[in-house]
Amino acid sequence: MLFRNEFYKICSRKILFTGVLLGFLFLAAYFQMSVLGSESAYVDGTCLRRTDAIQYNRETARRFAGPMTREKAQAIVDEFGWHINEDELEMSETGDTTPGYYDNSTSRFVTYNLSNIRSNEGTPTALAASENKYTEEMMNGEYEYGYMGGWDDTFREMHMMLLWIVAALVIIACAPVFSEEYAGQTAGILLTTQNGKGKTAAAKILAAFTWAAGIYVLLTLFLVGAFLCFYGTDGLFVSAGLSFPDLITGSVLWNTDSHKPTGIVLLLYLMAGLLSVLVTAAITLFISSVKKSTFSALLWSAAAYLLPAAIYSVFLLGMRVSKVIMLLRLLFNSLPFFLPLHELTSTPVLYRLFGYLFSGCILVSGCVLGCRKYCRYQVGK
Amino acid sequence: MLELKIQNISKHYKEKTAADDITFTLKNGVYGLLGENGAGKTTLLRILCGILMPDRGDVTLDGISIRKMGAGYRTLLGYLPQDFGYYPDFTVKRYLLYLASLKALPRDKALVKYKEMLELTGLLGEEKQKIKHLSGGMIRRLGIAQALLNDPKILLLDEPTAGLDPKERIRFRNIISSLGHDRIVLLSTHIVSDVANAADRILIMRRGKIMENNTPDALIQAASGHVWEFVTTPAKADICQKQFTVCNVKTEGNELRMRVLSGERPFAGALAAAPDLEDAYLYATENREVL
Repeated sequence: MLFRNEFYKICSRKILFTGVLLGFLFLAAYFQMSVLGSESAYVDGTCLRRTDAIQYNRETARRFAGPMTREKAQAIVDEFGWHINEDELEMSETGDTTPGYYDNSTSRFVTYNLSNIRSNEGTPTALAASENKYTEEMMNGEYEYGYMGGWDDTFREMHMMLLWIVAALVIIACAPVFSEEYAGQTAGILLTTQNGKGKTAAAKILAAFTWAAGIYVLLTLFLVGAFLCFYGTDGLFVSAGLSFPDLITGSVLWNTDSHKPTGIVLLLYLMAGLLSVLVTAAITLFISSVKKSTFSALLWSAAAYLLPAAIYSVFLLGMRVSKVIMLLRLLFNSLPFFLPLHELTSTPVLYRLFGYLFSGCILVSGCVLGCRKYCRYQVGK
Repeated sequence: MLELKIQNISKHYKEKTAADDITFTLKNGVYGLLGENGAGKTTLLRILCGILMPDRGDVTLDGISIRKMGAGYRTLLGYLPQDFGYYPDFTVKRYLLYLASLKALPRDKALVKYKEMLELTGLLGEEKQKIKHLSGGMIRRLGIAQALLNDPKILLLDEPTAGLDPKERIRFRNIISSLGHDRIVLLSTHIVSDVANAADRILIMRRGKIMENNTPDALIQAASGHVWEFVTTPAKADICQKQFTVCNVKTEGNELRMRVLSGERPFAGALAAAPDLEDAYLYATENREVL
């Protein structure tokens, strides 16, 4: 009963329903316009767009599915040539270009990830030399290639947007949890009841977490569903190192995840996203427990989410590396804004574990301290 | 019988003393806590509820500090704050059942009790109304209903009649009178008539101190011989207002009938009047030293 009512209090805020609806609409519009809208393929100069392009890319990639080898990469180059940026192509009004030009997701993958494009001033002329450690690793036959459309940076990018939307909704939902009881003077009654202290505080936290996790899962399911509908499941079985080359090339540090199927890595990423949402909720709940004004709790919570990201991006990344800076980077990276990204980069296992442990500590501390602060609230002080 | 002891309670805010070494004991019965606005009544009630820590002193129930009793003390408590906070989007039923769960009432008992309370406070039929759609008086009655929901042994009511119309006020007084037999009821107000008939004892508070702690009859008795009534002109009335504590002024044609406090007969024509509790309150606050 306590939990149900605390949950009802959160759900009855109209601004959250509006926010969720706007979030859905934004994601749907972005998916429709930017994700599907950027899908293209060229078959003998004829331009295919959106679902037609996806279908063609999928069929083409299936022909080359399996372990990626130098020979296979060369065969792809021989058949389709190098990918050329659309702004460098001569195109008719319909988007078609010179007959004889072929371009698809497979040739794009080889151009960007397996060619000498980086060492040759942006123009690919051949596959990368065998001295190139990372590219060589991608073509050594240990990585499973397949159609990875959608389930790569496109999904990560959209999911990051989803995380920001969810973070905003979680902050709006959790900021009033305690502060509104103070501001609305209901704390005076609640705290004089038998279950008004410990149990109610626990029910409030549980309700806030349920809401936060629920909205994250709901929006994520919507996103995953959309990607499954349009891109299918092929990309989930591709080696994660090919879908997210950062897992191999982003750092010299050791990483064990790059051979796993993309689906497994994305599942870990989505779970890390859930942890990041819960940590955001815990931080907001703590701030809510110390602020008597909901608006002030909202502002501080937003600052607690965004400021570390801003400090990290503007200052810490540009500073000369020292032990202190490394430690600060590690701590800031473990905060909700960056937390899930560890799974899609070559972050070492220990680094990631520390990040999750640190986040877990914040989560537990936020809840315990929030509960304590609320239970000890002095009415009228 | 419960014994709630307030021992040397002091509470200071930045520049204000809200409670200044207050000591008294409450046993079963209805207590009226009278005092002007800012006298420290709300602070005292909050301390008794355990939602505000005193700077000094302690509150004990049957010899045990309420701080140590924790949830055990709160089980016995019913509290209606002066600023009654509520959830505008809750219906009356949801609100009362929510409070019942906070007060650890079993579900079946809660369903019976909430209906009883609605009947007692005249809110029956409003269960499905959202609180934001209720009138101020109805919201106040809802506050009273929630305070009584767990059949509390210690009932603390801070300005419970604020916003009630005369009919509701009378109804409320009757409810309070019937409650005092087997519990402690402390009713804080600055309206004397709220406690005139219902209270067994009156506590008068001023500037953070308890000035009087007596029965209504004893307070009235103390004011006896100090209340005078006379008819005078408006011009003389102005002079009287400066000289005496005026209890009441009533227009009678071109003249004014005045009721004042005075140690001796103010004018030759003035008649001694039988004091009521309002006179006694004024007499206590204007003429007595702080206890």
